[in-house]
Order: sequence, then C-alpha cells, then structure tokens
Amino acid sequence: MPDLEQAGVGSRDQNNAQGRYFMRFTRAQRALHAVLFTTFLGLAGTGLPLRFSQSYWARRFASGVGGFGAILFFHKFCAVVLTLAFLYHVKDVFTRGLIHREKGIFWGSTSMVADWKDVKDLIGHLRWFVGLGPKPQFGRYAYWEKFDYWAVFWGMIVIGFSGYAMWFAPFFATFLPGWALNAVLVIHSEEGLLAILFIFSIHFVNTHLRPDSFPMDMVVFTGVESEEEFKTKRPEEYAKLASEGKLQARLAEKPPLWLLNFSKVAGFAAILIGLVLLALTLSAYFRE
Amino acid sequence: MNLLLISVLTFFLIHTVLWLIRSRYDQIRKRAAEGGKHA
Repeated sequence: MPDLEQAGVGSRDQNNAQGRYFMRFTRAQRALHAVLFTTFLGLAGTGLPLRFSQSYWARRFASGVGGFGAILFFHKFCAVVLTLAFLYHVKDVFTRGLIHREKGIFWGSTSMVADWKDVKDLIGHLRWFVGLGPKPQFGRYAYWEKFDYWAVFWGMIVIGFSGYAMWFAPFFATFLPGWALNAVLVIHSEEGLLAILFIFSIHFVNTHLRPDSFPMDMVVFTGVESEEEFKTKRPEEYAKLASEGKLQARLAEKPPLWLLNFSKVAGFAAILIGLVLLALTLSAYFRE
Repeated sequence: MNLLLISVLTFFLIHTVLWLIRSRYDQIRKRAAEGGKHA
C-alpha cells in the first residue's frame, strides 16, 4: 500500500510505550470523506427545503437566506464540488487498478467489491444478533461498509445524472423524450430522500452510534485506530497482516490532540446537523 | 421507487435495531464479567 507510507505512518518504537496505533485511512481517503460529508450535508440542507417547500421550516429558511433561488444556487454549488470529488475518486481507482496494476482494488480482501465472504458475513452477523452463532471475523471492509460505499456510488450516478438533466433541461431535451424529463424530477427527489434517510439514520447508527463505537468512530477523521480496536473490529485483517509480516508497515503515530479535538467538533457538528435534517424530513414527509 | 425506499430502509432498520440490542447485551455482559473479576 504505497499510499500508507505517504500518509504519515510514524515512528514505530514510540508506539510501544502507550499502546500501538495502526493506519486505516490515508490522507487522501480522509479528505475525500470530508468533502463527501460536507457537500452531502450541503445538498441535504438545501435539497430538503426545495423538496418540502410548502413546509413552515422550509419557508422560514428560504426567507432567511434570500429565497428559494439562493437555496438552489448553493445546492448546485455543492453538487459541482461533489461531482468533482466523485470524478477524482473514479479516476484514482482506475489509475491504481488498471495503470499501476495495484492488487486488491477490484477484487480480493482489500477491495470494495462484494464477494461471497460478504454474503456469509451478513448471514453470520444476523445469526449472531439473535444468538445463533459466533460473530463473523470482519476484514478490511465489512459488508455494511461496502453497501454504504456502493449506495453512495449508485446514488452519485442516479441523483447526479437526474440533477444535471433538470439543470440543463434544454440540452437533455435534445436527445431525451419529454416524459424522461418529468421522470428525472421524481427520481432525483425520491433517491435523494432515500440517501438522506439512509445516511442520517442507518449509517450514523451503524458507524458511529452503536455501543462499541459510541459516540463516534474517529478513525475516518484521524486515519488511525488503536491496536485493540483494530483487533476487535477487523480481526481477519489484523490476523492476515500479522501472518504476512505486514503489520509493522501499518504502524502509525497516536493522533495529536488538536486533530482529535478538531475531528470531534467537525464530526459532532455533522451528526447533529444530520439528525436535525432527519427530524425535519420525517416531520415534513408524514405531513404531506 | 417507493418499494425500493421502503424495502432498503426496513431491512437496514431491522438490522440496525438487532445490532444495537446485541451490542448492548454484550457490553453489559462484559462489564458484569469484569466486575465479577474485580470483586
């Protein structure tokens, strides 16, 4: 993993004194997640008042920021930034996988592509929930993380395409039938709603609010996790790296206090905004 | 579209609730075992 070396893998000896830390996400991956969640919050925060424009809070919000036209402007701005981040990610994945021939991008234990182990892990996890079997040994990416990833990937394509079709309707009307332009409005709205409900409820709970991560899993912000967390949450990956003698290469420094504090403020703000938007969405949806 | 929305959310809602219950159960059991050791 050449990325990990650039990402600040630190001095190995100093880890022994106060417990070891391991690199999980590179700087580029953390930056991509930061752009993803800030623009997603922006899109949700501007998309919801447009979707539920008749609701009281949407009208109050619109009057506070300069009208629905201003909200739409910020919605499009966030969409462009997110599109650029998405294109950068796709280019990065294909460059690493096809040009640099990096192993484990499209298939294998370090890939985001689902395989049979994910199906078995899902069944095993459901059995563990109800006490019918042991907890599955998760690897680098667990099945729910792959689902999150592909849900965003799919959402980017569907919501993005339908959004641009509405934005540049005269251009798209040159090759799409009229009904398709009506359909993209429904698709954009419903898929956007699904994304918001999924991220602000399921993703938040699965990743941050569940008892063994509560109140927040900091790894996506700091990039590193303690050895205990690594062993507990990703036992298969830990065992694989240990057996291959690659564990040392993943050692990292303990995250500095400023980074932890900054991450907590940013992360809690994101979760709080998300939960408020979730509450507003549910109240507006059930009043429709 | 509604079917997709409802089925995805229903499955993951059940998944998440079961996970929460199981994790909490394990946490309580672990604490009780640790308390027993210290006693």
